[in-house]
Amino acid sequence: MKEKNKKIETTLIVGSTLLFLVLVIFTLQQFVPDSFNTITGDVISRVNITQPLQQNCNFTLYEGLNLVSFFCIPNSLGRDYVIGSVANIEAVFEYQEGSSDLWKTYNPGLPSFVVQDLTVMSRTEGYWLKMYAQEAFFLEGGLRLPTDIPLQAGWNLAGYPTNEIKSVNDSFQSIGGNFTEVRAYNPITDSTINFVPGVGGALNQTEPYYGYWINATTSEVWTVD
Amino acid sequence: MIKLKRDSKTKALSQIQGSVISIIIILLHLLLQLIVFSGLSLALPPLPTEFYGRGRDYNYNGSSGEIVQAYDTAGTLCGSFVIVNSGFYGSLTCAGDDPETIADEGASAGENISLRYKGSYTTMMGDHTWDYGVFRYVNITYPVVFCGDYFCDAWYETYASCPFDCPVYNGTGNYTYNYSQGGGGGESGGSGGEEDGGESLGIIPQSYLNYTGINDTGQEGLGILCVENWECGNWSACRIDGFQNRSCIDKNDCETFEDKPPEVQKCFYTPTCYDGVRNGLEEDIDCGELCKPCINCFDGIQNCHDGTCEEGTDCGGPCPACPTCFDGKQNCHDGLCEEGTDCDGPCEKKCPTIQITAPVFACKKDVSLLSEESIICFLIILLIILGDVIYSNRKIRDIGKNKKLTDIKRIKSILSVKRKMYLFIFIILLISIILFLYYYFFILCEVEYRFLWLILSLLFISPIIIHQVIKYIEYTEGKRLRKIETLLHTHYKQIENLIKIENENLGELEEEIANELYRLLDQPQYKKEGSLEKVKLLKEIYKELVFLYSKYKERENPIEKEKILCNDIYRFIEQPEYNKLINQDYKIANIVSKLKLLYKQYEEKQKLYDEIGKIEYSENELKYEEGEKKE
Repeated sequence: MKEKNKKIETTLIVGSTLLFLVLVIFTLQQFVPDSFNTITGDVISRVNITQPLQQNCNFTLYEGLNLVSFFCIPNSLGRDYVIGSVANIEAVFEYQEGSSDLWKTYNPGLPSFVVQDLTVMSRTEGYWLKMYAQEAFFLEGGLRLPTDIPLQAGWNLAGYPTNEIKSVNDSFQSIGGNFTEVRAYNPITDSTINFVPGVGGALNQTEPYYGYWINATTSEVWTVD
Repeated sequence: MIKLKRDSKTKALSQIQGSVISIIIILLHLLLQLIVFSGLSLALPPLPTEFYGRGRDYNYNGSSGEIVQAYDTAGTLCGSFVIVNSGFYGSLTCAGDDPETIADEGASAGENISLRYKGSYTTMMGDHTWDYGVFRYVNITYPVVFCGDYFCDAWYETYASCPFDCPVYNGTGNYTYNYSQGGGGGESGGSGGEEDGGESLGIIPQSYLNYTGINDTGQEGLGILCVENWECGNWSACRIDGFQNRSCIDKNDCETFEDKPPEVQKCFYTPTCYDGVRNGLEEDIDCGELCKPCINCFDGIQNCHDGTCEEGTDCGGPCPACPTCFDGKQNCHDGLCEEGTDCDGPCEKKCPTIQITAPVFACKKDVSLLSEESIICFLIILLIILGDVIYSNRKIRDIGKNKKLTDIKRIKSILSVKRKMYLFIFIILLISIILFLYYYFFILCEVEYRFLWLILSLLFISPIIIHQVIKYIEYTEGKRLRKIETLLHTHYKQIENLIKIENENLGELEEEIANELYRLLDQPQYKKEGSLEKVKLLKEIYKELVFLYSKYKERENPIEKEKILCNDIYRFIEQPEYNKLINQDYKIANIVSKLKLLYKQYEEKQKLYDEIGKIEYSENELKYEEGEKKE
């Protein structure tokens, strides 16, 4: 009887320890952003972070069109600083909702007399990047949370300025009920996927480096944290 | 009859008319729906086509400030561009038409785009079709060039291709025109414009003919009269509006601007801390980050801004209220910090000696504890527990029915099953509680994860709790076994007493039978030599009876002798040779009936001995168990 009890006890201790480890790992993944690994200095809580945390952008640009965003850049940064190192870039398009000039473009192959109006880039914007060939994108930068993205009624091409993958419901909680559709573009399949509130869709999570088309019903602010 | 026929015809006609009207209404309704719903369709804005290239106004460079517009074939304006660099335009964004809506928002793929200058059509050189997200290099010439327009365009016309418009240079500064209409050749006519038009030679400005003739397409123009030789100064520093400029001078002073380099270009303006604009990383105009600190509620100085003055350092006035000893928060003010909430430090109120900050477990979201998921989980757990209880009870019943097991073994098996059942229920409940607390507080409620240590602590101490539960169950089992041991001991004593009483009874009965046997055997007929053999067994029985009751008196328990006596009694009763003897003498019959009674008494006594044996076995088992435990 004593031996049996010992066996049960050992099994329970091992089981509890495993459960404990699983919960710890899950918690760390769920609540602690990757950027915590590189924090220097005192951080009281995630909400109070005002200084950008060292966080680089690192993703792949595929041949053809890519609908992307850059969470590691500030609200306004020179275009050449952001995409100057991309060799195979054909053109960049930015949609400025609510503006009289809806599209801002940049094409490095154009002659110098051409006035290219896309001169600054922002983490709040989404960009169509047209590539001649596949290329890895890397940019040193910082993570700034939270970010308020103003949206106009109608289609908005917005960035996703966080490095966290979230469910669509969580991501768009701050504008819940004020948008009719969200779309993202998959450069591999060359197709768009969407999410319609109350209906669903193939788009079920938002991921960093992607740009999102949001059809807002009213002017509002989308908070990404 | 005729009237009736007419009536029926009219009726039929009116019916047809009615049905036609209803069909038209339905079609109109469908069309309206199509328009409305297609208008509401949620298609994405398509990528535009960007146009760029040279822009010429006659043979001059298009002037900066002039507008180049792009129209699709339906006449919809899809984009425009204000010339910045003389002679060049672009990039001009021509928006696309959303194919999923019925409205014409812009151009469609493959559609020819018309580029206009000064609101008029131009001659376009290059692919000017619209497509998704492409850049088109298209040179435009204003106005539309055609032979016979009294204008010799340097790109498209030569004397050979259009002698009507283009004169022959005779090397003297005079030009010979070959007009088929409107007069013959003559001198160039000095200044003038299109509006001066007409058919006179004077309408063609002198400068039109000064064109240097190799164009982008390699076509030869009128011949080189003057080669532009531009020299440009350095670019100015980038202006705050994102442009920089320079001056270019044609050293040959050709008065043409075909090769004039751009004098204005876009640039990237590097923000400074004194440009009077909030830009770059500045938190306000020319302050914050790399510039001087901004005057605000975070600068660590008591100052005035936003129209009012701070009451303390970065608090009060335009900033959040200043901390006090009554604000319900633990904070610092008056040069000291509160040691608890509104107590000690700068406050008069003393803090309690021990202050424990209770973790805030308030749910941040509106999550119900009794949600459907929770109830389902609860029911599942309940079913699991119920299943285990039913299974364990069945096992206990089976053990109860198993006659092969000794009492102690049976009890032990039942206790073991019960122990497993209690442990299983306890562990299931413990894990469920931990997981539920974790899921509810940290997943659903998003409670700050710094309080996770509470759950983790619970998880960490759970093996200790389980260990203690096992110990408790063991203790309870031990207690029960001790109780059983006491019961067994009492039972043993009772049986012992019963055996004692039985022995006394047996002694009396044996003595009585022995006396009767003695008297019987003392009779003369049983002393004869012939009879001796017949009563030999009775004599043996007599001796054994005497031995037994004498032993009982000595408080001994001669069980072996009892067995021998039983065998003899059995032989005497059952063997046929003695039956005759029993039947002959009623005294013997009387003795035999008493011997039978004695035999039964022995049997009862044997049962008591068996019971004692069992108890002794059980006691030994318990003692062995205790000995093991002590070890």
